[in-house]
Amino acid sequence: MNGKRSFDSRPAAIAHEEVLEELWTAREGGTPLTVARLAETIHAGPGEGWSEVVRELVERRLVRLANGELELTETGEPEARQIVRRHRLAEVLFHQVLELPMEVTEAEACNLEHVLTPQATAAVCSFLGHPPLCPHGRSIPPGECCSALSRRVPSLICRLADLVPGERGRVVLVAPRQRERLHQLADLGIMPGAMLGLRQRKPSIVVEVDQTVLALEDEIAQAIYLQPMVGP
Amino acid sequence: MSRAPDLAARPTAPPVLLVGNPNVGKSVIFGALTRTYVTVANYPGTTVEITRGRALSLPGAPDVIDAPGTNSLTPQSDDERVARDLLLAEPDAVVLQVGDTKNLRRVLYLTAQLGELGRRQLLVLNLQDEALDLGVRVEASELERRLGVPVIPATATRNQGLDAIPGRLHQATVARLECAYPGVVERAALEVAALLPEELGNARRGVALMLLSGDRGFAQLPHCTLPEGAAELVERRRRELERALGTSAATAIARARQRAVVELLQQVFHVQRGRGVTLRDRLGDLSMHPIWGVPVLLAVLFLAYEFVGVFGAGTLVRLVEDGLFGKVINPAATALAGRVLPWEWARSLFVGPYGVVTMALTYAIAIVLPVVGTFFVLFGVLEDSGYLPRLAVMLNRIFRGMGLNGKAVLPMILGLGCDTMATLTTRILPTRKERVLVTLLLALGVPCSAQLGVVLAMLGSMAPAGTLIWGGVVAGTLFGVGWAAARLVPGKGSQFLLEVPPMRVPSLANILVKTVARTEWYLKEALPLFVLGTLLLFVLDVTAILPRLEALARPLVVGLLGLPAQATDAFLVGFLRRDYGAAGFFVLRRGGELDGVQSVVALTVITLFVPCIANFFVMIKERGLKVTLAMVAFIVPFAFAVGAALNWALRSLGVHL
Repeated sequence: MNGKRSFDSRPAAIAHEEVLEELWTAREGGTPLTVARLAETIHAGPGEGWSEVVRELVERRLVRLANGELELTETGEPEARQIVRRHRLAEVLFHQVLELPMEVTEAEACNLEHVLTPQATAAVCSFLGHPPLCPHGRSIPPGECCSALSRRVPSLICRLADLVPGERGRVVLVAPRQRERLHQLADLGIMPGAMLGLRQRKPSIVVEVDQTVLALEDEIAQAIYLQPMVGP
Repeated sequence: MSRAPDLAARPTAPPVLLVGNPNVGKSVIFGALTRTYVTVANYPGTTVEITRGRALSLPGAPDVIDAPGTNSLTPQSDDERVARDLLLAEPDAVVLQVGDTKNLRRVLYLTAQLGELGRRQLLVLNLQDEALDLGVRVEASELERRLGVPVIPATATRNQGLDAIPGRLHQATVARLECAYPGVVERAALEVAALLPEELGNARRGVALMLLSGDRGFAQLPHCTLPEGAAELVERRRRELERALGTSAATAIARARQRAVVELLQQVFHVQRGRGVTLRDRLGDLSMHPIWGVPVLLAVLFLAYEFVGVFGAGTLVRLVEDGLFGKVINPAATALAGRVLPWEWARSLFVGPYGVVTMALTYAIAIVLPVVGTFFVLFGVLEDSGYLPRLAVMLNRIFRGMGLNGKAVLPMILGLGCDTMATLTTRILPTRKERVLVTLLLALGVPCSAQLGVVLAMLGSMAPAGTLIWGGVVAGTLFGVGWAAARLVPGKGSQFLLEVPPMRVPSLANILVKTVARTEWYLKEALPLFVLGTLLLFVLDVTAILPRLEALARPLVVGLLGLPAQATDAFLVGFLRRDYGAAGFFVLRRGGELDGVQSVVALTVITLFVPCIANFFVMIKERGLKVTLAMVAFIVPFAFAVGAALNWALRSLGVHL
């Protein structure tokens, strides 16, 4: 009830955030947005009235119009970044950890992106092990919690690189920077659901999947997230 | 005798295509099926080698093609692309899938894809011995019943089970391994399949799934050019699919395949727990242990030294050089030349100080061949035992300082056998930058076994400090140049990802076959160059150009390097082969014309010197003329500069060796 009410009490804020998110995503995809195109592509909220929302954003100096195209201002930039970050973290949580179907994930992520507090966002991010990519393969803007100094890995999900030799875990997420690497790992059997065991960390990381033994670069091991298993 | 007509006759059966994951013994089975009559050729447009042969033991004497090892038919590397292209290019071929029994999951993952391509196949479950050791049991008959294709358990290295292949070849059929793809994937696959050319036939579903997995290399395939505009349609369809899936299509497809495979595995694959750790496992683990790996490496080096350095370069060389050449061939040749050749110049052409027999053949066969031969045996053992990937694990971090990773261990170690061969194997490295770096390091300072043998024999005759100085300077130079080049050469390195096969007891027969093939290759490549080099020296000598060149090079050789003027000869032939150059120093040293410091300086320069002519040509072939010339233009002055600096340092420190 409470959450619902606060959601309803800020429709304008939600619409603002939707636009900021859309601008970030469009820039990432390299397709500049005009007000007209924004109304077509935006994935939430009412079908019209976006020019009004844009006007408010321009007034608040979060967005500016340059040659008919919308762009984020210096003050709009960090706002958009936080929204995108919350959305994509939510996607990882719902789709890859809780294994909800993509439609549900999308809807939930669209809700959650507007209500997560900074503290909760950091907690989700840490819980997930600071994932670099969302399920669509787009990068998740890192937050303060992602910097190495403040990293505290919780026990539920951790990176392959954080296991102790001899430990095993079930793969939850594989998120390498290069997409081809994902296929290569999948072909070798490293994909969500697979059981991985860490053989050794030095001089190079060596893991086993079934009867296959693989040596990996540290960076690859950083990109494999798993649920550690208790016992042998 | 009866084979000749068979070979001439055209095969009456469709070709057999060997497909399988890497390291599962495909080439052993290929060897067993074809025996001889093998041709190796590059696959068009790539540098991946394909082996073809005729299997006269199979009904219809079909051609057999050994495809490169692959983990998937949606290729991630050149090797995998060639395997996939071969499958499409040979639509009638019967697929003989070879799999590692204990890794049945990966085997069936490939079987599922072969089935989707509508390929008739057999499945050989190889490496039964290893599976047994691990307590793995696969119910072959149950697997056969479920897949519907002949399943043949085998241990190819012991020649077990392979005799079942000829009798079952005609039973080859399409494997039944249905993968339940998400509905959206099925729909997309149907739509894409409808866009594909008719002639793909049954393969269309499999090809559609490949395309949806994001296989971009497909448009270049000669057999299956997509119709106009289809590529864009497929790409758009793929993006739509990925949006609907919320993940990459490749991942969704791979997951569905793995699910189907795991379900089947539960029926036929059993592992008995509580199996003891074998000695081989323990040795394998020790050899890549952060601490114990070092003594293992030292032990391997020591054995290598004992076998190649002491037995090959010492015992065998003495036997062949002093015995065969010194007592039999050279005196006989000299006597024969004295009788049949009336002219002095002709006699010295064959048996003089720069004679074809007394110099070229003696060097090539008596001094160099025993060393190269023993090295190839050693390399074959290391290769087949599974130690090399473990060495890669040990050295990965060191190589990273040079912009490389552990994978580069293989060409670098092979370089200790033959730099030319090693330059060819740089193809296994994923990026251009890595291939350039390894080519440079091989050319600069990895001494080949021929040279190494001569160098070690010479260093053995002086204080151990000499070996340490030589080794330290060469290794330091390699690392320093590697470090600098990693920062200068544009491009990116790659990340280390390497399968570590179990330690295996190498099969003697396999090693012999490989050693013979490599030695034959070496002789064909090196012997003509030895003769050419000797002829060059001979001509320079009779025309009195040699003394003039010596005079010319005097300031450099005598002044800077502090060597006797005759050392110039060695450098001149060193342009043809570094080991030939080193052999020249060996002779000088034995004649007492080089002291310890001079020997170390000379050996350091010749080790860092330009590679042999054959390596030079292979460098041009692999890296292009421009890059090769740039490398050589750097290496020659650099080698002399290092030598001059070393000479100066040793002299000013007053070192005596």
